[in-house]
Amino acid sequence: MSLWVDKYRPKKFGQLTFHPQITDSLKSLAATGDFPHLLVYGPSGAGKKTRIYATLNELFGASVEKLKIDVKTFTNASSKKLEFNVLSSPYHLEITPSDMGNNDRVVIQDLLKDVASTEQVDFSNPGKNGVKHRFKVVIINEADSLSRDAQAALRRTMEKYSANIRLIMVCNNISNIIAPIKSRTLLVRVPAPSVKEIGDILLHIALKESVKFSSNDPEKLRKYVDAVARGSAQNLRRSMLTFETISMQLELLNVDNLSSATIVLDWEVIIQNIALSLRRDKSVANLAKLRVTFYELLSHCIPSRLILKTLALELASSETSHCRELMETAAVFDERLSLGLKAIFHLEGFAAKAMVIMS
Amino acid sequence: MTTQYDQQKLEHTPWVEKYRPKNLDDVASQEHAVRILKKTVLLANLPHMLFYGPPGTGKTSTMLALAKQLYGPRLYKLRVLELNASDERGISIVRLKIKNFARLTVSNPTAEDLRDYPCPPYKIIILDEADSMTNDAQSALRRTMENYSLVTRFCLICNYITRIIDPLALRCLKFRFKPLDNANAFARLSLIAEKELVRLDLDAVLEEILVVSKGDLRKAITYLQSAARLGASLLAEHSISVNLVREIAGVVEQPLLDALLEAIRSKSSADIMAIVKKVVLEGWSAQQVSDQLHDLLLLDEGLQSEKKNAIAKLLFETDRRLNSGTDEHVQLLNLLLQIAAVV
Amino acid sequence: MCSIEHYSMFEVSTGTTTSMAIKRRHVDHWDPPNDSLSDEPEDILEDPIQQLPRLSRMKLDSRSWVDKYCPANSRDLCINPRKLKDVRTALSNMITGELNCRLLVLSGPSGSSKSTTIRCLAKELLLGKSNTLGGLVEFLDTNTADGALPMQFPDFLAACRYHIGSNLSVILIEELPNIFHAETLFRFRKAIKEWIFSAQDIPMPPLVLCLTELDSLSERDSRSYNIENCLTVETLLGKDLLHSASFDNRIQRIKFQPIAKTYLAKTINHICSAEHIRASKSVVQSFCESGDVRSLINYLQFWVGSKGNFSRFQTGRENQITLFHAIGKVIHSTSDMTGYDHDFSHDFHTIKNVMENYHDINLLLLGLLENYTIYNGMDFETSRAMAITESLSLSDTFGAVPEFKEYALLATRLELANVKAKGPPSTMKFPRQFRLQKEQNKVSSEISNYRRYIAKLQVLRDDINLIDGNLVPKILNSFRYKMAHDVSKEQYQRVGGAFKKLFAEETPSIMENEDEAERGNEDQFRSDINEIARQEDNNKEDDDDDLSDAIENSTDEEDLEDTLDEQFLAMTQQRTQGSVTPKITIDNDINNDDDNGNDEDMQDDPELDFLVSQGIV
Repeated sequence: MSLWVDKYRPKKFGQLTFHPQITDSLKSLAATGDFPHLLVYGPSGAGKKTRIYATLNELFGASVEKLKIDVKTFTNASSKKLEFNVLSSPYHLEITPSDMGNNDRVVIQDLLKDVASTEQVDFSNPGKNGVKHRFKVVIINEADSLSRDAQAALRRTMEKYSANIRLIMVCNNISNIIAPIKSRTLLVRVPAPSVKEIGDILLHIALKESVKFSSNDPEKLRKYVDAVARGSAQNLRRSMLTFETISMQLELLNVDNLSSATIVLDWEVIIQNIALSLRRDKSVANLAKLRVTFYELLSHCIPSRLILKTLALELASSETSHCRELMETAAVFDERLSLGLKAIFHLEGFAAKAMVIMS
Repeated sequence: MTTQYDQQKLEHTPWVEKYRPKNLDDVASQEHAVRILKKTVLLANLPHMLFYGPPGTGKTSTMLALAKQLYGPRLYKLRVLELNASDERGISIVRLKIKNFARLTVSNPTAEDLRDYPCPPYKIIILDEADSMTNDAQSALRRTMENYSLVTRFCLICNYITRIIDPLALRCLKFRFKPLDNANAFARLSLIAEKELVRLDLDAVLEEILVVSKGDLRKAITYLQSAARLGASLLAEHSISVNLVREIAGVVEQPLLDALLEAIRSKSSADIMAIVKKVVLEGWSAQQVSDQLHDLLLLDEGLQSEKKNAIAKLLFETDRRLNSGTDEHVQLLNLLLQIAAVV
Repeated sequence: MCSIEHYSMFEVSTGTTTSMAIKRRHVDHWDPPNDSLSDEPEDILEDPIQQLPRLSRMKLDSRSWVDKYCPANSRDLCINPRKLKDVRTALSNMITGELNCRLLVLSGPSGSSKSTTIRCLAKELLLGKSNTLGGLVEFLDTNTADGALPMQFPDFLAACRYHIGSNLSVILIEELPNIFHAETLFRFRKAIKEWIFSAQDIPMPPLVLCLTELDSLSERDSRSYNIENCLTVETLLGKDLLHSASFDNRIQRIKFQPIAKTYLAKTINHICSAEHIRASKSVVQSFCESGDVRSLINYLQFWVGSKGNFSRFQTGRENQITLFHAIGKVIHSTSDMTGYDHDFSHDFHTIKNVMENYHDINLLLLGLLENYTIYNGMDFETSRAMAITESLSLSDTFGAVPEFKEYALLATRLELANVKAKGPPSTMKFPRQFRLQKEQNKVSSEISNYRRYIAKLQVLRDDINLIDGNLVPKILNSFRYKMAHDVSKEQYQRVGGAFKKLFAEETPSIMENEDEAERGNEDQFRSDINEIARQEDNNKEDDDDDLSDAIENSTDEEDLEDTLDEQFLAMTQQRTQGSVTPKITIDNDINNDDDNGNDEDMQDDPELDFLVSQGIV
């Protein structure tokens, strides 16, 4: 089961197509012996991880692709055993804080200490340019979801083990990263690829997979793939999955029918329906009905802030005259979502207020 | 093997640590504080002290330099305890670690040390980032400070003096550290650049570094190091460009800012939504954008002060919300829509 | 009340134990209720006590009624006869030594007549068999004793071994030594263990342990959680001891429940008649709420002493109102609205009342959100709904401040009070929060499994849930994909299951045994995950060289040629002789002690259940 998104994932710098400056910077960093800690940020589906793995490939050679999954066990303060999975190669390991729950500080400290104490032994696999690296790389996904506590602890650990460990932290935005960490890492911003850049990749895949289009007019083709990219919010992963879905479901892609180029995700459809319903029926009874839908989204682990954001943007773009008030309300309830505990209060609060604003 | 290891470790020492001032004379700027402190070195009599001021103004550096000058490298290890926010500093630590250190009697310095350094008969406990200590821990500190003042002096270092409880603050001699003036900071940066063989074609680069670091010398040195690292490896000619500095500091590009301002002035919500979407997709941090908007709008001569007041309030609200981990897209869009309504 | 207070040897233990030494004074036995009292007409309420000779009596007898009315024989006991029979059988078996049982453990809430039962039974069963008075030896923890404290209990037990033959006594442990001291606890357990496992043929006196356990979880929650209120038989004796002793029934456990109201009513009526008090039925009823016979008698005495000035009676346990009752009060205010319509102080008191009598305010707030819309048949202004949800949202945001909760209740009440028309309300629903959590756990564990076994940890959770979870099944289900890869598998569902409605119900949701219905629609992802997990296990067992077990080989040479950038084709080709193939190998050991034999039978696989439940646990 190999999806296009995996099949066409670049493995090396040379295969990367967009953001040439970032590629160059990373490449030259990897070439010097002096590789700093990195903080890579940018929207999801912008190719952050792909670039990081290409960097690792440059640093250590192809053996970083020998991935395996280890189970690590930790004992927390109340001597409860926790298990979580770590993806690793001989030269790096990758962790995700959300796997660790509330114990991220302890887990990260222990793990890094562990890695640092077992120094890299195998130097038989030098990188391309013959530079041997004495350190192991630790990738921390979703670094913005690390607790402040864990971040403060990381700062010390970074200094302490800087000879044996390099951290690469990955996150969507850096507002949640504390300043001491920002000042100890090299910031690398990875913007989302442009519509055209995504389109290029999709066209390339279409060629390789011999996807059939109703017309081979290059301009029409370009328009079609651009529509895929735009409909996927310039998220490369989503664009590729969408494109594969469309190509699998249809024998022949009709380039004139641009609406067939977008797939609105199931949860997005639901939120669009909520927005529609809010605008049509401004009554208390409808609030009770919408509550069912909110619960439904929440039960599928759709992040509450994403629900609020999508709903607010949906409403704001269709009710331009109330745009400002709607976003003001959204900003208030967005804050309450991050301070409060039970999302349903704030989602319904927003829905009720939006009704009043729009009526 | 070990030497190679040490060598590597040294290479990875951040320049901030590497170029910390070794004595009080090296401290950039802060003449006022330095003058008084130098006198205390001569008299070898130190009160409890409280250093406060914005980050990167040399508070920690000054204190460390002072301690080194008092004790010399050997005795320093025995006489000085340094704790910062990364260390556990709850009330239990105050009760145990700090108290235990505080009540130790001082050992006699060797004759050598006595010859070279004043070696006053007390120890120093440096509490860096003291404003992040809980009030309970601070209260617990109060008694310790009094009880052992004969053998131990405290130095509290913080950004916000208001977060230090009064009883503590009143027991200390307070020093305010001002943001660095550009001339001093520039001199320091040039010195480091020279020593590290960073090739700078233009003074403009250093000036740009000073602008983006806003008087924070630590930030400036870090930017310089990152830029040097990236620049050294990136380009054959080994020089750092202004743009590289801006990119490292995560400063939003001017064209994008101009587009933002234009969208605000147009007051069209559709335009604003489009530009915000673009900003978010390019990965800019909302905090950075609002910071730069702050500079642009509040320094704009053409705006009346009432409008500036309103905008400042909006910026404050957004900043507070972003600090509690809210969604950047929503908050930034709200901010721009609200500003558009005011302007 | 806890059983660990220290009494000196010389004190009469009044707090926890009704002392045996004091005999019941009144000869009149309490026959099953002569219902004359409870049949009294309600009109005595104005003067519920007719204190005829009471004052003089009080002078004569200043003992507390708890001691005064301590039952003298088992017939007078205020417990369920069946329970009494259980204990009697157990105890008499121990006395005769017919069974292996060496320790009888009685546990239950305070005031449920545990020790009193033992005292009565000991006296009755040993009557004529032994010379001891009362037939009971009790452990009293003393600080005055000479020996080391931890050894007190073992010494006591050792001495008790000789209470046999003509000296036969029941050994009662109600007070415990200081078991919070580690060594004392160790000695305590050791002594008990030695006692239990001493050789079968040695005659030994029956040993009884009475332990006050808090009866319910709710009660445990409502108080602060500390070591004393989680003292249970398990924590006291240790699981090992209980387990090993339960094999040949060396320990017998009997649990006591709070005393039922009917039995309590009997006792009250009896005491009332003995003290010549006239109490109305409603007063008796209000006493019976508690279930703690000792506190009840104390209150009764106090109540009489204060001439019945207590308007409403505070028995030991609070009169809690139910969730729906509380929601109803907030939404509709109290029933007698007449004359109060515009008086907001009435609303204020309603809320105060709810705050005092309902403890789980967080649940109440959720209940309000679920049910505020039912008011007036969902027919009122949206601005009111906005104000209500705003207040609820605020109270959640500042959850640490209790005033905000009260504010939310009050705001809801006042908004609804201003709704003009009064239509019929709909039925109330229980908040969905718990079902939500259950669903979330389920979905989240499925995402974890997908991430672990199918995405090999290479995709982030949010991406899986938001993007892949929707699109990948579409790709895999498509006819063309199946053709291209020559697979014919079942339908794949959205990762985490399809969206379905989560409706509110009128009853609290039951958290277990609901998965049965859903097991029907088997999802191919689950089977795949199961399959992969099984393979990984097998590989792990078959072959230790984990690097050679490539589970999934997503890229081979053709794939590499397909990579994006044309110019690098040359380079990749030359690399094909190197090992660029990403191999994913797994060395974990989930479940590897399970059998791996039957690969066919997938439906009722315990492993699958395990995987599905993995994230929940």
